[in-house]
Amino acid sequence: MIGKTITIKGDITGEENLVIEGTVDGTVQLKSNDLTIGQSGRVNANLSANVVRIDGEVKGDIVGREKVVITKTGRVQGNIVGPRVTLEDGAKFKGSIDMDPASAERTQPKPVPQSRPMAVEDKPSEAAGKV
Amino acid sequence: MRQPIRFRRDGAAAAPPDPSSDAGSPTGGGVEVRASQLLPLLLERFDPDEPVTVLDVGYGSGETAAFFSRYRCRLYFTGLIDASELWSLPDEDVDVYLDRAFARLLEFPPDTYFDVCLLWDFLNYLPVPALRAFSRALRPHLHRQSHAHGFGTFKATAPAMRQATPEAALQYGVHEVDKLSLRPRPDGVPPQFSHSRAVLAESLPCFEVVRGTLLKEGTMELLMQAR
Repeated sequence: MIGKTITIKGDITGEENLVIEGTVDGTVQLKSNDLTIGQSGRVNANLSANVVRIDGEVKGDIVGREKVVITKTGRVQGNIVGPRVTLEDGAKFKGSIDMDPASAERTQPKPVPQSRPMAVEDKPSEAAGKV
Repeated sequence: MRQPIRFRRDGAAAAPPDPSSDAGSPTGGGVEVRASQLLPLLLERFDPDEPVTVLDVGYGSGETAAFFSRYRCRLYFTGLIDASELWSLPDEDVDVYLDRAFARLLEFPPDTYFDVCLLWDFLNYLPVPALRAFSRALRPHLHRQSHAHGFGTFKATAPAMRQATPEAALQYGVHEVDKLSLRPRPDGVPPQFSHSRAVLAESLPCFEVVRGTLLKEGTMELLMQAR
């Protein structure tokens, strides 16, 4: 655990679970373990771990090989890559979430459509929602 | 293979939601679930095996992330919804100012093309110059099959968008293919700008409205396609 009063500038690697309650500038890479950014954690770093759980603040890219969870107290600005991403109610996240391991394919040009849909305007409907 | 959205001449939705569920069902935690008539037209065409790129102008929503996790998806949550620089405009060089603001706020990789743009009620929080700048900023990231979903007003004099409370606007998410989730936003209510359909069409040339459903209280649910 990296305690509340600890500040680290640099790269952190390891093969055990880690909880960060302090401040980290750099990178954090855990080969096959879990990483938790605690409520008091302030991290300006790219993160990579098996499960990444964020209760504090992160500015950086996140790779969660199994899962990424941003809890209700979490604040994240960055890009997330992982097969499962959970944003709890109250979490604040700005950035991208990539849930496609073959994302490189996405940059292929898009096809031109054969036809365009008709412009149709609905009349007010009883089924319309309360807005 | 992704299919273009097609509409029947009678205007019927491909999979209309259950009207009985339309009144909105609270799910606890301040979340309301509301049926959408147009969302299925936007979302049902996607094949889970095909990659999908989605723009959401709000902050990350758990429901939206969970919904799109069934696809090979990249989601962009931009947080534009409370970017105050988009409505607090300078007196001069407004277009230059706004182009710079959007360039800073919408930093996408150059080969990013959105299949779906979830605009929610964002257009109602932009003055006309900002609408035009938003269109300029977004156009390079659209393709001919890009579609957008959002809410507008039937005419400029229509009541302002619905809010959760007088102090809180709404945060939207995709709850299901035909249902939205709505919850109060913690960041207060931005100033509102109601635009008529004509003004919206002129000020947001990157999209045309291909279908609109008039809702109660003079608001409209809109489905748009890139042009």
